[in-house]
Amino acid sequence: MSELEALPDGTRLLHIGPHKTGTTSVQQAFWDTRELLAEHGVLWAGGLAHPMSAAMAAAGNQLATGQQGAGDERWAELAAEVRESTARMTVVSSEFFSDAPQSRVAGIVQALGSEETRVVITLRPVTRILASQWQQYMQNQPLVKYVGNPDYEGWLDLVLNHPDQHDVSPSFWRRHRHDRLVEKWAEAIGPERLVVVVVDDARPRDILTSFEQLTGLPVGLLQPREASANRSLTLPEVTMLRAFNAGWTDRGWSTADYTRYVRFGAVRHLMTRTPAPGEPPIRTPAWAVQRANEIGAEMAANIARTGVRVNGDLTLLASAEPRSVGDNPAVVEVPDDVVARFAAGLAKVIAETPAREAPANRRAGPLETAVRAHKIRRTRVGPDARPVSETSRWALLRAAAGRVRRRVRSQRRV
Amino acid sequence: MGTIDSELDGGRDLREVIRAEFARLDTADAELVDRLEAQALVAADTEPETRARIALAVVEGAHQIVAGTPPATGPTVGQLSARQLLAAALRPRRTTGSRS
Repeated sequence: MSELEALPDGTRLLHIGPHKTGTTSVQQAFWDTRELLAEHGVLWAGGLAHPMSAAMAAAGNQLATGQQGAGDERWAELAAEVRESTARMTVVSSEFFSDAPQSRVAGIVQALGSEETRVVITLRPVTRILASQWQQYMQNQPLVKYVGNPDYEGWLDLVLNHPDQHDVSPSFWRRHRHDRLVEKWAEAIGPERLVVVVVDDARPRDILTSFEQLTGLPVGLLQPREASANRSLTLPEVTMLRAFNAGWTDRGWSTADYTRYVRFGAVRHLMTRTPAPGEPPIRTPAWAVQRANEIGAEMAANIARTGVRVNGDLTLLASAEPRSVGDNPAVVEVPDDVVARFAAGLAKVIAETPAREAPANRRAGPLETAVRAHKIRRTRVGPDARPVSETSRWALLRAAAGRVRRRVRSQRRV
Repeated sequence: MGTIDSELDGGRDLREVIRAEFARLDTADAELVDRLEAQALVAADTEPETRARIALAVVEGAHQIVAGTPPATGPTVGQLSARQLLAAALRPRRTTGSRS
């Protein structure tokens, strides 16, 4: 990968992803190093590893647990922080900016400072994105458009062979038709102010080096975190999750509860599991690899025509193979610890719901609201009024000891 | 792709794995976790062929517990003597009792 020239001082570097192109590793590396960045004149804006709700609002979207307008406030705060920054280099990164429609792109750039903003787009071959993006959709399935609940092979057929359909994850090509994404942002900002970084999975450190070079940081300052924290679900895990999601949807449970308890709760707890050696990954069939590479070739040619700076090998977009190629088994064995870890994760996040009302800027689902109310009631009820069946052994023993103490004291007085 | 293997035995071993996973949890509300664990174990007994049901049972259990309906019949702590409280504390429960 050729060396990148640092962007001019005063730049507001806006990294828009898209999804599944190494964004988390960039965000975590900057976040972990945030205290050292100031020494080098770099500000990581947003006060979080990933300012997701602000970026979603900028793109015209919001989390299922977000109150109307809360994300807009976060976006206004983030944009103001960036505009007012006096740092040599100010960096903002979220893949959710890539979801912005054409009508919002110019507004995003203007909010950050039209003259100073430079856009970085990280790209990865679609063949390497397919399985990863699909299992990510499954982690959010009740919220995404997914008519007919196709399995991976069915989803691949719809996405690759019927790209204009809108019934199943229509956001896929909005994010991953990378040529159109580049064209859209280049039109708003000018091709000379847009940099494309092609991510090569065989050289995982390169993406951080590119950001170090663009921001003028010493190469090696940004350190990657352990990859396991952001791993993809295995085939048994995603198979169990899809069955769970179908049950969730059949019961009419809320998407806000899903977001809190499943997407950002039980699924993350499931990710703490270490898959057994040999546990099958999600495999991408050979026909889909070939079709994705044909589309990748088209995209690479179109991107080359835009005149934007490209760091890395654009031909990778048309030639890479995913990690696992082949057919998936018709019947999937789900190990015991997959569902046990997931179920325990649900119990954990439900039990950890605080005994107070949800903050005003959050939209709590019916279950979360009821759990909070239940806990508030319980904290108001004295221990003697609690049913024995709802009281722990330790609390029962304490109550018994209290009875004995009181009896002993009263007998002494007599 | 997509069908869960129904030939797996969903009996005692699965319940042991569920108990072990719940025992690893470290939360302040051990009572609620105990009750949700009981829901998962019941589902492991009755629906071994569809493993996602175990996780769904946890959510169903949470809905029932917080719905405000009175808990299972039985006395309150204040209604029992010291001896009865001790007996209740030592009585085997459906769960491991690891957090009690």
